[in-house]
Amino acid sequence: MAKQQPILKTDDLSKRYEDGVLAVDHLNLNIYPGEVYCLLGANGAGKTTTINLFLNFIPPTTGTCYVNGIDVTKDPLEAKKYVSFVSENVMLYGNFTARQNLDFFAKLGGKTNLAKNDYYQVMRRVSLQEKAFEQRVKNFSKGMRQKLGISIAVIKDAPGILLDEPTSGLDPKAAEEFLEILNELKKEGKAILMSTHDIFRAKEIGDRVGIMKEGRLVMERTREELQYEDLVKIYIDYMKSEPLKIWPLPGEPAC
Amino acid sequence: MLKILLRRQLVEDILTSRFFISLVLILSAVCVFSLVFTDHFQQSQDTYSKAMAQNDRNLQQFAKSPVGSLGSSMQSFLLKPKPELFISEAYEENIPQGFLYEPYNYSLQLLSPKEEVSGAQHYRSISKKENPADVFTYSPDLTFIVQVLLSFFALILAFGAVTAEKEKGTLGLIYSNPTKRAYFILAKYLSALFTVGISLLIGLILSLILLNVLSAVPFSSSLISSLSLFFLVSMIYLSVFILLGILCSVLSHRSKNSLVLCLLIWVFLVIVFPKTTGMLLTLKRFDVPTGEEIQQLAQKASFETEDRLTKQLPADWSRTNFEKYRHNELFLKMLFAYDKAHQDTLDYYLRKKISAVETTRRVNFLSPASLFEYSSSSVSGTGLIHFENLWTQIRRYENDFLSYVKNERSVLEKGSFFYLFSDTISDKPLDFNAIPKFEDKNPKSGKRLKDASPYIGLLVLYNLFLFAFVVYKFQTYDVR
Repeated sequence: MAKQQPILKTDDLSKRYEDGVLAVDHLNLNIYPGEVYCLLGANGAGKTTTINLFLNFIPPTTGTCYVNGIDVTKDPLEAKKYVSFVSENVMLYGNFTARQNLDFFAKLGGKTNLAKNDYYQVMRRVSLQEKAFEQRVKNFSKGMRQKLGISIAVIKDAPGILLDEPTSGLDPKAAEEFLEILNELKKEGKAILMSTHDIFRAKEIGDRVGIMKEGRLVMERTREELQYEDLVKIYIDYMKSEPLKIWPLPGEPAC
Repeated sequence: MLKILLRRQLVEDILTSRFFISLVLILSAVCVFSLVFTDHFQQSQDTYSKAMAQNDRNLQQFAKSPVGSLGSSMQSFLLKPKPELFISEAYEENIPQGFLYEPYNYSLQLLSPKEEVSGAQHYRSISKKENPADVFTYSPDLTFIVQVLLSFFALILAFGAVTAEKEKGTLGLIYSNPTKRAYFILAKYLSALFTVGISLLIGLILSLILLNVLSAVPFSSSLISSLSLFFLVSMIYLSVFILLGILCSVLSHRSKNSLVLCLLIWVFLVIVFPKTTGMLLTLKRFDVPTGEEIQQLAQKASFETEDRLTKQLPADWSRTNFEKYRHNELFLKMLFAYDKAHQDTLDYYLRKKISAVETTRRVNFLSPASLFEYSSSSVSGTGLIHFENLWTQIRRYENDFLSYVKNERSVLEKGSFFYLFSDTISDKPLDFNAIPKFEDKNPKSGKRLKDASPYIGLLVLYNLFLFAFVVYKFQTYDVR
């Protein structure tokens, strides 16, 4: 893979919450165009916090997040033009149809000149059933809503995509379809960061897989490396290992 | 960006069952209140017309024989029942209904609330029960619909502005796009304001039609200007509650918590605070004496004036031989001063009572519901402001009437005083049409707006403060 400028990048990123929990600890990530990076880790490992930091939902304690080279904290509105987001549980507006939801979020993302057919095309691409296009979202299954969520990310056509446990709760068929869409997006040159608990799918889709524990990136393997290693074993070994020593952040008193 | 957010929000607000339920509720209230008002308004109009007819008869009698009917030329100046009472009744029944004017002895007697207007009335004090700020009831008028029902609806529309989006997961999705936080709040605010405004506008149009059909109140420019001003004031008031609803939503992280907070705020601001401050303050009675005490004080003032002035009269003057002095300038001056002292005392305590009510109002300035009540009564020209306006007009009329008699009928006129003794007036018939007639005129809309401006100004300040606070708090809101 030719090394270009990373679309999603963290530089010594840390986040300590007000209750003292160090959710992200000196994280350095570089995710390039056409690359899927899977973040594995137990609940509370810092995966979702990392995504929230990329979206500027919370400010970092130290370090910096970059989207397409733009400092997220300094210019969040500009940075958000280059990133799409799909959350774990996409609920959307129940009283609106799939197309209306898509239309609203597409316009928010800056796509203001789309026709009805453009929306239909995107929904077809994510394998949403035709009959659901003009149905109210409140009657959708979780799988259908996730597909609609990814169609919102697709229609924005941003170079970076953040996925927060997108396959959790999906049936195997829906999850498989979801990964197919991700593969297509990857081929289009999107830089994708996906947090997940699903080790098997992470291995299947990820160009690189990182394991987070207590806020730190404790392991990172490429797809090639994982051909010779058992990711499940590595993951379980890291989960069983001793708790990490928590170091104070710059400017914080020593523990 | 704002347009996109606003359009979606508007569709959501208007398509919800909340909107339809509130609309049905408001229209039902307008219909019921119109029926109640119609009945009451017609009765009031009858009473008023009778009093006006009696005034005309008295003046006609006076025109035929000024000397013979001088004593009975009294007139009742009542608060004219206005269609604007449907906008704001403003406890008009609980305040004095007008004055009884007797030019014979310069007397302007206050008519008590709900008292029969024909015949001779005597001054009665405005007891503490008659303090309009002390009434723990609501009138069936448009002010009630906006103050209580629509303010509640405004909170219901706004309480989940942020929390509901968060619970749906759409807040995060919105902010994953380049969306300004202030725009999000502005869209929520404008949409709720528009939705509430639509309900109100439909209610006002319906009320205008019903008033026309049921009470035969014509579509006058005055009524339409009152309704327009009322709409303006209502929107400013409802905006406060929309912002309070959004603020509760920003301060809470769950819609349930926000709803409870909203309900508590609504009960306090709309029910508890405006109704209890009046009661608490009236416990102190505002240092206004009772009606009997005021009468005694007025009598005392008259006697003191008499005593002071009789010292200047010839030594042989006594109450029994006053006929001898009826053309004596000093004596006439004394009579004038005697009545004036009486009247001034009554006026002084009336002003004091009005000032007591205004004190209550100033305390209630903390409640937007009270500010709205005062501003709607001001723009309608009803309630206490109607009474004060009537009083001013009567004072003007009093001068006009006496000037007319003085100029037209070659009355005895000496120095600066003037007194109507029958033998000082020529008994030559007068032209009835030329005699000044009293009419309770509704102030122009500009004047009404000016009267309401302090209250409206405070409501606008509430809005500005709340909006700034909401936007400030939302800047740091955790959208996850």
